[in-house]
Amino acid sequence: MKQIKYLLYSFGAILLFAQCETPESPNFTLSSSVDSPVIANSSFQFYGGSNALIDTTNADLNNLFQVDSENFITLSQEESFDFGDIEDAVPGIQVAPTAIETEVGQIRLSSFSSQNGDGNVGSAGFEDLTGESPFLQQGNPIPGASSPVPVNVDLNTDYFVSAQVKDGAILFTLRNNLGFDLDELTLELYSGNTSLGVVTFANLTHESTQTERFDLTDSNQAGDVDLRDINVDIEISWTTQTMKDDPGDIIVKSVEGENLVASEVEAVVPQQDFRASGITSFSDEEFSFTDQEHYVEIKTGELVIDQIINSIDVDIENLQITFPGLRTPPYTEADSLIIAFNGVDKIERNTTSGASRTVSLDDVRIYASNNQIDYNVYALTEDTQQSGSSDSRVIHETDHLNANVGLENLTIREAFGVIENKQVLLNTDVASDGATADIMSDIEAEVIEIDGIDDLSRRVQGIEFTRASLGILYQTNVEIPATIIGAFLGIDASGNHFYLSGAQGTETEVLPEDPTEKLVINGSPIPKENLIKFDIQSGESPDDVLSNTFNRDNSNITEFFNRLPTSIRFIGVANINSDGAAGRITNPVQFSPTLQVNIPLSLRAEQATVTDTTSANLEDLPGPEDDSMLEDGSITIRYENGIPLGIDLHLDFLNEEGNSLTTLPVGNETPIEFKAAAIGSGGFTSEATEDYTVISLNRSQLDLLNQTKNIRLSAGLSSSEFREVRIRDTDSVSISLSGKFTIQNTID
Amino acid sequence: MQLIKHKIFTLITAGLVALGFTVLQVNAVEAQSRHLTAQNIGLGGGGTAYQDLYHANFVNPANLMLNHSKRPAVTVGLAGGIYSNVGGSLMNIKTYNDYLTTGRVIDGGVADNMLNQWFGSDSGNIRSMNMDVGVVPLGVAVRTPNWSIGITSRARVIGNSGYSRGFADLIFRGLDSAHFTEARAVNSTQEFLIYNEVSAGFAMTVLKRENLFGFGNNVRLHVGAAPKLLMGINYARISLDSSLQLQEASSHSNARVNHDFRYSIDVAGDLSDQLAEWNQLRQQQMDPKLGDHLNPTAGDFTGFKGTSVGFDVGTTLEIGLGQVSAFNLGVFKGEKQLRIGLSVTDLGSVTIDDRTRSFTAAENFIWDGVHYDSETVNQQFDGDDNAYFESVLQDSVGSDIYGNLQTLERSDFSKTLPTMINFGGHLLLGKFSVMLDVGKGFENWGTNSTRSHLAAGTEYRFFNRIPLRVGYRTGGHSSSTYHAGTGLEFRNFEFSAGVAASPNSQNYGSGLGAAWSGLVVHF
Repeated sequence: MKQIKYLLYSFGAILLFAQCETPESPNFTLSSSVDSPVIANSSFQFYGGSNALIDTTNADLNNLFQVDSENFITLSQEESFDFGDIEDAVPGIQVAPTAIETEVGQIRLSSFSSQNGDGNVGSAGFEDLTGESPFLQQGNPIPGASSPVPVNVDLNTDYFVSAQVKDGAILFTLRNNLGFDLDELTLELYSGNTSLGVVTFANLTHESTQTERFDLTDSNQAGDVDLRDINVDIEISWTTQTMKDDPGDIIVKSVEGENLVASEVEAVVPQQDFRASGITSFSDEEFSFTDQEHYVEIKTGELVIDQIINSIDVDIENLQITFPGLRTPPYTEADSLIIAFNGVDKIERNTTSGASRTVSLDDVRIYASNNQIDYNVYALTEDTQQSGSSDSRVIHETDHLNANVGLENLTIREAFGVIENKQVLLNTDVASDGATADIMSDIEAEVIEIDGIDDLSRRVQGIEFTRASLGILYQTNVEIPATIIGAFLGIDASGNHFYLSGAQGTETEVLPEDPTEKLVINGSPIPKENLIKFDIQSGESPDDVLSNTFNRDNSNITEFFNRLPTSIRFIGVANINSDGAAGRITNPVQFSPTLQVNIPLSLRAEQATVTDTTSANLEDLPGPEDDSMLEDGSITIRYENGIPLGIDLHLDFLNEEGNSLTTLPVGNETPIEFKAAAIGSGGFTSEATEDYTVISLNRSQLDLLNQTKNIRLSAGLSSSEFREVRIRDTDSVSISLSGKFTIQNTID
Repeated sequence: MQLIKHKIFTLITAGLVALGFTVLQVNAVEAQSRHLTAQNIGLGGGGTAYQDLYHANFVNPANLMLNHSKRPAVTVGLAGGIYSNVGGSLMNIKTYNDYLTTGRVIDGGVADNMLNQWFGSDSGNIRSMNMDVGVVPLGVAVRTPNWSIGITSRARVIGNSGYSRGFADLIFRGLDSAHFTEARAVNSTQEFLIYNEVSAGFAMTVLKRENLFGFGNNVRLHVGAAPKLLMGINYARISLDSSLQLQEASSHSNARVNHDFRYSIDVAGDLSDQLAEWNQLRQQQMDPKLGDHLNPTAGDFTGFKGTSVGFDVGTTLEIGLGQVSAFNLGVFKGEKQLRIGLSVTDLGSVTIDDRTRSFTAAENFIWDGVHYDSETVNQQFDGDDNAYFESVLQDSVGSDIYGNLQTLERSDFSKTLPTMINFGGHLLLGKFSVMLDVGKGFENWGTNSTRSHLAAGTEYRFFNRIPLRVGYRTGGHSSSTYHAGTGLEFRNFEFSAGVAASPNSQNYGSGLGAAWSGLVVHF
């Protein structure tokens, strides 16, 4: 009985608890929604600082865009090219050393005696000349007669040893101190024992002095007169008269040469001077002085006179070499360059080692008509008579002074004349031979990097920038006609190459005859049709900023910039003075260009393509095999587009192999479209477009999303009404984005 | 005469049962936050009229005077009792099994049906899971013929975790704008109290009569009181009160989330200091990481952070039924006694006053999405949009909105004990006995519920040593539960256990309970 009770209670307890609930294992699928805003209404101004589509705080975009007073945006980038000093453009002046030889030439003789000043070179006495008693006195009569014999007078010509006289005369000055008047005095000149002729003094009265001229050309000797051991025979004749004084002498007061020149002398020579002139020529290969006003101005250089050899037996106390064409500031004719050797720099006689002199030509101008430089030499010898009568020298007329004159190390500051046509590379020349510049050489080519549009270039095709231009602002001191022939190579983000070319028939077209061989790409000449040119203008001042613009009228600039080059490489050659005109060029030749890329955001697009593939590893999203999965989803994008560009969006979800998993939108579904703003006159936005678009994903698409590794975005970009539109910085787009997803989680 | 006694006894028994059911029907009697023992959990969770020994301190102190003739004078319980009582309307196993175990897809309409069954249709309806766990490390009872005392220590953890229907909507339907078109309450409360108490119970017999109306004899009226020292260990409460409304994206407007919320965090001790330090740094824009500051310490779970007092009182009427011969048959042979008890338990409150702070935040948060700022994305996130979005959600929304806490220094937290009023009867018929309890809580707190409950049970003692107990409870913090228990009860030693579980949790959620007597020695 007790056991029954026990069992009864136990059974009752078990029965009770068998009735109790126990939780089963979970097994359900939870389908929950996420319906949430993602991005609140956010406005993105097209261009500006924070939160702008083009963020001006971005280092790459900083200063890339400019906004004018109408808020119109221009993609603008300036790049100054540093060509440095274009030395090759300045003509070179090479003046070969010129030998100057200056002969003494005919030697002039003047004073024969140191006694000339004392008035007694020689004398003949009363008794010898008259045969009368020397004791006659004043008042005594002297009968008329003549000298019984010629009286020889050995003249004291201590200054003179000998000479080969070529021309001239000797002046004899005699004084009659005989005490009576002479009717005639005959003086026969002797060179040693050789009579050279006679000169007569008529009516030589007492106490009178008379000079008579003995012309050696009339001498009895043919050719040069050998003159040495000068002595004279004197004879007199007189009429009867009363002695006017006590008897005296005939005194030879002086013996001097008159225009007396000799080819050779041995004498104590007086100071001699002699002159020489000449020209030195230089090549007109690079520069021609076709006018007297043409010149080159030397920045630095030297005039070197060396090997000055004086083979003359007298010192050159003063040697002057003058260059009428070398002028110092202020460059008048009176400013000719004169180089003098005197004083301590005098040229010693009979030198065997050449003296030299280097003269700076800094700031000197060379006026060299017909590319010739004149020079004049003037030499003034020492006066040996000043040092006494014993210092006789032997001088031949062929004795000479030699020197070499050269212009060395010339650098030209300025040249005014006719510069020969030449082509000068603007760029750094790696080989330094001026031969070529390679546009692909990073050293030689100048490069403009437009980093800010790198992404744009990579992703966008088909936009037509209707008002793009490339401006060249430059300063130059070239005052001669010159043309820049350049190669502008654009390279887009994909590495494609394209050139800026001159339009046919315009002044920018590079013609077949234009010298372009210096411009190469990878060693090969760049075809002329890929080049462009423009003339350099001359300003009133080197500081004037001049400009040239390549636009759609004179070039293919629109096509060039439509391809959105991220870098522009430039090489150029200056074709200088192709017409051979006279002009001025200054060293250093300055050509400082600044290239100004101007791409106004005035554009037209008709389904221009924007493509971009971005990494998007969506493997964390649930897939069909996962407990958690996306059932469906949609993203609603509301927008207010104030930018006159519209977009049709297409998304490709790519797997690891790059194959498309699914696309948005699918097939004929409503396109994902952002409509452009309406535009008014001028292409500016007149009214923003407000609309919304929905991106929907169905289950089959969502099942594939977790295989996505990349998303390829393709967008058709169209301007409003496919017209030319202009974008302002204040244009903006506002969007708000909401997402709605249904997520299923299976729990079991 | 015997017939009269029998009728009277029958009437009393029937009256007790009828009273219980009547009270239950009108929600007028006690609830469920009982100190559970291996005995009373097997009998439906009552005990007002029969739970004796040192456990009586927490059930009805007057019961210290019970069973004088059956027990030695002294009882000591080492690890003298462990119980756990969890449940509540949130633990709706019925609904769970109906919807979440059968492979169904829980979407719009299905979710609505499920949550209507679980929470009801009103988004503000709260469903809670409640817990009451107690450990009696030491209990002593000393009995004399005229009085008894009981000294009992109990460590107790009381907790609630409640969520509103709107909260459940958010979990099961997500941010579904179709459902949250109108603002819906998204509320949640998490509240936990840990304290230790030492109860000193005293009971004595205040009335003795040898005869009552001719059928009763040896009538005793006991009264008892058990003041107790409450030593708060910790208290934490996190409360979210909010409404959520969603607006779907349309051709005219973006989607929008509107969450009008207020929440508060009440903590004490080291955790409070750590949170305050973090919040101070946050307010100083130092961007502190919460995880770097929160380091649980042993002190938060062991040290006393405040003291207060409480007490339990009760009275029990014992009526001997030896003169009723109608039940002196079969299994009913033996001592017959009717006990009627009335008690009020857990009067008082636990005070926590060690570094008590409240952290509050309130905002009518309207989320239109991320205000995209490309400058910030570029400068601070290297152009990584995802990182920017995460930062906005974590920092701007998470920290600046939901984490924008204000620190309030509090003098203390005073948490009322789960006070209940209990009324019960116990009819002992030899080795067989039946019990009935009704009760009602004064507030919804822990397993305490203002919804009345009734507990009924019966026990048969094999060989007077092996109790077999079954019981039933209905009302209170959960759906009805079935109870059972057994063990060994010798004169000088007890070892027993009991369990409880719900047969149907659809209406009020499941209830689960278990208790173990520990090692109880009588000498």
